[in-house]
Amino acid sequence: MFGRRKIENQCGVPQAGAAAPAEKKRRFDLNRWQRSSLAVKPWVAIVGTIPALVMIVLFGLIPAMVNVVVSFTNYNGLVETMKFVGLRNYVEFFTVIGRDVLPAFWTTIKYALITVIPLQILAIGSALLVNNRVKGRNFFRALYFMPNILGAVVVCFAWKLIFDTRWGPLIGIFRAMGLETAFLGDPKISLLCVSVITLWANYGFYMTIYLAGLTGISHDYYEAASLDGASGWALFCHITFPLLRPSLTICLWLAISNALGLTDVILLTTNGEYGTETIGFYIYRTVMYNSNTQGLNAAVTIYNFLFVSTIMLLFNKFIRRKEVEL
Amino acid sequence: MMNGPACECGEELRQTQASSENMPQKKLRKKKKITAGRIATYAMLILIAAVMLFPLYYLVNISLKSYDEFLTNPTGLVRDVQFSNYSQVFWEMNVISRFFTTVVLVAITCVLSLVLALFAAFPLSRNYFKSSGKVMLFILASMFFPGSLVANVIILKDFLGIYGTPAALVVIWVSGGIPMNVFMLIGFVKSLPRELDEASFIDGCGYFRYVITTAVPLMKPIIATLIMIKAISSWNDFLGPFIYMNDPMYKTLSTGLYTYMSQFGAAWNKFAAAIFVVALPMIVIYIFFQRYIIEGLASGAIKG
Repeated sequence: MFGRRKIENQCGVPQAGAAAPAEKKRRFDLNRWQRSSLAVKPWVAIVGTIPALVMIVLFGLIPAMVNVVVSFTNYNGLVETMKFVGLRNYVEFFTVIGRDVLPAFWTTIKYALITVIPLQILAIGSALLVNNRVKGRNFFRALYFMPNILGAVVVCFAWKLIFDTRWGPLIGIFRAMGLETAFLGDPKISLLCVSVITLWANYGFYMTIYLAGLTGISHDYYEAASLDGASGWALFCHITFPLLRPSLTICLWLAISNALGLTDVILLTTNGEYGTETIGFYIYRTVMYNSNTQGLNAAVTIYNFLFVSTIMLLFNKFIRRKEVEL
Repeated sequence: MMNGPACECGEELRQTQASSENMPQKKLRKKKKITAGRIATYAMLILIAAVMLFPLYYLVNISLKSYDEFLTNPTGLVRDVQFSNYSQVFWEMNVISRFFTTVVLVAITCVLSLVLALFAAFPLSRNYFKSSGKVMLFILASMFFPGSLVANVIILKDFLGIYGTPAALVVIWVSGGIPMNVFMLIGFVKSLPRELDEASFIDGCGYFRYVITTAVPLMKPIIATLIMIKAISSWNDFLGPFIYMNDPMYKTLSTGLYTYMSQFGAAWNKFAAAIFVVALPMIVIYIFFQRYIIEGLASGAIKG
């Protein structure tokens, strides 16, 4: 029924009331007919698109512009006293708050350095393990992925208990080895502890991406290479790793951008104390609690955006060069 | 797949046989391999599994202790199992109301972000109006717009005046989800046959009715994936509710847990129960749908 009526129409059998009069002319023109679907009036489609566009403009485009505007003013929560101050906020970034904010940038870089690479090593390692023909492959995969569905609050508080210096299990082990440490409360290793938490919580996600990459690698390569006498490490270096490049690019991109924006884990574990204040957390803290300097905060946001996009652009360039080499 | 007593060596043998049936050429290579490698593989897998499970085990273990036992024996295995922590936490943390707040907000977010994205993705992938290519580019580019906490707060507070209410949170969540949803839906809509549109329109089906009654059922897999991704990410979101919905009346499970934890001293046996209660719904859902969840989240990340 459905199909036949369509065919009838294409053959030019008139059908009263089915289509708008304007389209009657075009009905016999098969080529134009097939090129575009004429039955949808543009304005109907536009009406459907508008709500999504409004949301994107209102909470995507306008915030970006408002942020730029505010960064040139002394906005402090009251619109009445708002004044244009030129580049003062951008200068004050270095003179007034440089002591707080520059270490925050440095902490972010340190955090990214100690997290991103171990994350990939762990993820590739566990992906290779799970990719073996082992029993319970799905169980292990699901278990390693599990923290990703638990949420930051649960993960961070669970690890706060593990790292607790009175009730946690780790402190006993460390004491037995003669080490006295406060874990998250120790400025020397607190960032490392945060890194351990995010490693535990996130590597399963990257493992899944690598697993998808691994299943895409044809077995023929391994067969051919092992006929040539390659084994183990050589197979990994010359076949697995190069062919995982696309997955590696995705994972590195995700890991770096996540590491540079780290906020909630810091808030939930150390609250920015003990030398763990990342730039994401710094912005959060100043926006929430120093709301009389919103202009300055907006300038910091701009600097942070420049910082992140520089790193991501460098990353893009670096990876693209690598992929050309391949 | 394989049942019977689980012994590592026997298991290994059966595994080899099973795989050799599928691909006979691999039989030779597999049999030559020393089992030590496989034992090491299993050992590593189980070791990592233990590391993954340990925090959960420790949480549950400590949450079952009474306060006295917790003080005298914080790290050891629980001797006297008690569920009083759970019942206390359940009422003190308002779990039921927190749960329903979260469910309702997440549901509204999922539906809104999906419906808005659907009606944007359809015309864009079909070129229903002029310059839809530019609009599509704009929406995709909006994924890379710099997010700004300052500006979001200013807009919600000074322009819209809804800062702190659930509406602010929903708006932030929905607008965050739209670009990705549009992106994923466009890819899927392109795979739907155009003839279907035309056939329905000829039959006198309106555009909106066509999308809802004909296209949506065909798009079930992608819709399920998108809803799942959005639901999990917003359910687990902490900063969003914490920043944009600071009305004490409304708290999601995660912000409720945070405030609960900051109210009391160091009663970790109660805290552990609270954490586990918050984690439980997700764990239960995960146990049943783990395959779909893993694949959905991974595909979202790869394409997005």
